Amino acid sequence: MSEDKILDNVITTRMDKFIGWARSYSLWQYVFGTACCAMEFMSVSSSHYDTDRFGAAMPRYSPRQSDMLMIVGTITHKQAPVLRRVWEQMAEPKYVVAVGACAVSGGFYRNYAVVQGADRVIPVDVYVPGCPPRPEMILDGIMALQEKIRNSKQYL
Amino acid sequence: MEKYWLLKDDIPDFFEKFPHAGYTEQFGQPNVRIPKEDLAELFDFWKNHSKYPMDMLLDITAVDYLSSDFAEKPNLTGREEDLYSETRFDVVYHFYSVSTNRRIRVITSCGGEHPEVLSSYAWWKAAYYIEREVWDMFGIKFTNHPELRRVLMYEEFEGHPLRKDYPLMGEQPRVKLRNPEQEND
Amino acid sequence: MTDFEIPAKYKIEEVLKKKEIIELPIAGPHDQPIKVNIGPSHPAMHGTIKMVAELVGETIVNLDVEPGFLHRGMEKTCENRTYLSALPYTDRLNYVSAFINNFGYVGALEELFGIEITERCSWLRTLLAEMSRITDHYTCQAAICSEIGAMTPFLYFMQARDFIWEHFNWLSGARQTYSYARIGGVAKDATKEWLQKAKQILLDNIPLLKDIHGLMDKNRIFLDRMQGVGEISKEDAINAGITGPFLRSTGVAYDVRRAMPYLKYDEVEWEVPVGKYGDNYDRWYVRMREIEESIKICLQCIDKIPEGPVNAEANFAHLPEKTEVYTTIEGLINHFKLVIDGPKPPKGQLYHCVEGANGELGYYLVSDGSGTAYRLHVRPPSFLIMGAIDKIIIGHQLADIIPIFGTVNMIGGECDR
Repeated sequence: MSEDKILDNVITTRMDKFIGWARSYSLWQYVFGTACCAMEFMSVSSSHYDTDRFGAAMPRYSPRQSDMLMIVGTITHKQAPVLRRVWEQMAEPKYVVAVGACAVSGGFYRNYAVVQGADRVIPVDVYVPGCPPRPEMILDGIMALQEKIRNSKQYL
Repeated sequence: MEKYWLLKDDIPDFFEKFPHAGYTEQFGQPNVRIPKEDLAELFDFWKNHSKYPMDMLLDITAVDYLSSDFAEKPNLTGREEDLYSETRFDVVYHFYSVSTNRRIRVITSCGGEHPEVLSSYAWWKAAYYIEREVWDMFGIKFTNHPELRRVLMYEEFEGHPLRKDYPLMGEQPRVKLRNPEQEND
Repeated sequence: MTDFEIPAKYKIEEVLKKKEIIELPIAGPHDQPIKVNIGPSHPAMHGTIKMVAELVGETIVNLDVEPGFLHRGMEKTCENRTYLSALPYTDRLNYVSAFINNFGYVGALEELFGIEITERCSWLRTLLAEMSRITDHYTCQAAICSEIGAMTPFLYFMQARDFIWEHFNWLSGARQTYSYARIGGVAKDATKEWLQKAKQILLDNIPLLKDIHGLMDKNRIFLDRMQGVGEISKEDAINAGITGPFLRSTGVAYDVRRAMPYLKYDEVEWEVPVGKYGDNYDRWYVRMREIEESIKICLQCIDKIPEGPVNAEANFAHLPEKTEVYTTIEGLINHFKLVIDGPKPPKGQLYHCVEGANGELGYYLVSDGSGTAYRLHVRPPSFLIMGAIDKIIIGHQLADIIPIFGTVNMIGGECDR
């Protein structure tokens, strides 16, 4: 085979880049929906906003089968151990998106019952602010996560 | 104008039966105040009232009058001894009569180190959750309640958050909280 | 294959006749009920409810319902905020129909202050509350459908809800949590174009409802899951403090809008739909009928809404216009005092109720004369239903939890506050 033919049929790339590309388009999500934002998330997951474009349309209701944990809503102190347990059950590589002001920072619920941000319980990769965020913002959050996955070192 | 609340003139038989009942009227709504010893009789009276049978218990809530100096309450100023004042809490009942479309509000006081009042569960099943909530939030014990345990907060939680001496930021975490700025995992 | 005679009382026909099944020999090796933990992170539990079911075979013999996973301390927080800044917290009670919560809260405050709202404001609030109720019922119905496996109605309902939410966004600037009400008025007036487009959207919803009726009403699978499941009698429902569509499905025509008319509900024509058996199907149907009635009310409101000012003259409670704040010293002081100290109502206590999407939504307010509520208690309709749900579910099969729980329309923010 001549060299031209090989260059036409073979793509050379780095391992990290290739795996990152694959992983960024197969985000199976676990929706940890608790509050107001979950209602907005119903809109996101229906046909109008179509998360399938990002390879993130497949909600798995088992943490063991999912790659992306979406914290959609307020995390209270009562809920915190549950969230922790769900996150621990997920297999690596796992990514966490905190959707909404409450999940990001506790929002305006600064009181005895609410954890001041989901990142005080588990590490968070992408923060989507808003109370609740518009569907476009959640899509933007998913795209930001894809970007992050593509540019990070991939462990096998 | 239509009437929705039972005012003093509508219920002379109530005041005959409970001569010690206090009565005030605010914003066209009645506040009937009775001592907590009369509660059993009161529940019987309203549940089986001939003219306005109160078949629905709409709501039970409580108000903590620690550090307040208004309404008909004595002056509780948040001093140490006021914590165990006998009239620290108001328990507020809202009843509704579905058949005659009338409402009434009944208030009773309790306090002391272990405030307790009689449960209305034997009369209205609705009391099951709301009395648990009042216990959870205020620490008011309802005697004869079948299963008085926390409902909104978790079992390990200490104290009762809606009491005025409970701090707004009195968090009691169940898991060890991370510091997101330092830890990296 | 069985080499022994099954006792007559354990024959499946006999078992099915009885609602309360306590002992069955088919429970497994130990004859003990098996405990199954459902939730709080379970797709059908809406994220915020934990149920511990004890099963004998597939039948539930005992159930412990534990709410509170979304207890956000709203009441305590409102005791530490001024009346105006407590308003956004009421949005997030029932976050699917935030307008109704908003108007209930400011309604209580207006009663406290003694403010009479203007005609236009009253009609506008009626319209918005009813549109909000439509979105709430859409969400509930969509959840029921998707949870028992019908995805098409879910997608239809979500699409229809999105149109209404985007329309609210035009008016208030938010899709879901509006904070649109003000004491004695609303944040800003609705334009003519907004009202016309609202009418168009509502009319577009009528064929949708026809589609849904066609898809679901006589669907065999749907009927099997819904009819005769989760029944509750009139007396039990009243005794358990259940209100709203849940109570109306048992045949009691109690609706706060009719029993204690507020806003303009006594000036529009509408019916209170009631069910007969109080089962899942009746609750589904009552909600479907209520959507139709709400559309009817909305269309009448759009026709009848008069011109005129939308805010009442109540400078002591209502934030002044921005032009006044920036150009006059009185306006500036007024604004400053309202924001820092809050509006100061008279002392006293009152209970104000509106018909929320799930039942009677009451606000019990104790005022000590300062700018902050001494106590703000919300009577949550779905909390009381959750108190009675275990008695409804016991005796049914495990799979029946999902449609029964779906028809309650438990909204975490309102149930746990």
